[in-house]
Amino acid sequence: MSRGAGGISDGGQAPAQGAHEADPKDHGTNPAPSPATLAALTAEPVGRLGRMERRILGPGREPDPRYSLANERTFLAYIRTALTLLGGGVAVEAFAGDAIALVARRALALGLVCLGMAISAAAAYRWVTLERSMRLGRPLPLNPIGFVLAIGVTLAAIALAVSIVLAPS
Amino acid sequence: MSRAAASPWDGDSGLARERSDLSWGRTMLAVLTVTGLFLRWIPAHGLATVVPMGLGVVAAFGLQVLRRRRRLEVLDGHGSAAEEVLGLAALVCLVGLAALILIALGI
Repeated sequence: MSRGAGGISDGGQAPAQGAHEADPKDHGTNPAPSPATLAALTAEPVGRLGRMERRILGPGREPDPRYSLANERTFLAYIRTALTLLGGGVAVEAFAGDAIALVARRALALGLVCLGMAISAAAAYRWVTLERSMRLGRPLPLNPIGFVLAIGVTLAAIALAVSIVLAPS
Repeated sequence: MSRAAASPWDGDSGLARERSDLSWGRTMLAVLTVTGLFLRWIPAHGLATVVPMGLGVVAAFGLQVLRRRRRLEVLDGHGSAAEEVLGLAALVCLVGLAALILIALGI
């Protein structure tokens, strides 16, 4: 199945995804796909995808390439966030010096690096789940990474503030 | 077959391909920045710092390879980013693991 199946329309409008493309009478009022559409959606993907890609992405039709690229950019943004957390951990360990206690410094650095690694792995998982949902024409799942990230960064900031206040002068 | 029918990207006024390619480039710069931070560990950890730094450089090079592969795929209008996504996540986790080990060794 080539990307051309869900290609870019001349007017710059994204074509409807998956099932809705096949039925010109469907204007979005009837969300239930027909049996033929269901069969097409659950069919094994064919075309130039490799075996590993087919295994990762599962069944379904290739989504509009712009949606795939948007998903890819979101993944890359998460990766940059993960790298920032890694860099933050390294920087706390390398540059904090005597500003905070040694134990707090090491714990904070370990926590930030662990959080960065977790965000990196979760971003890859998130990309796969989004891609699978798009291929099956399903609603996109909720994003738990944001909550984890917010809680992690908040805890790290609180720990850093407390460490600075309690640091031996 | 007309040219318009040949490419799925004709008429794309959102510059999605360029934005995605630039996003890969920014990510590579972020990897190199984190790798540069490891330099500060040389006085404390000595030669052991070479491990995360080397991994960082390898990750940046690998990211550039993945970026080039992905760029060709997108230009051609087929393929998915599955291998690139998993490869990049693994590279970042590897660099993080090296940093983690060095921090843990210092305890």
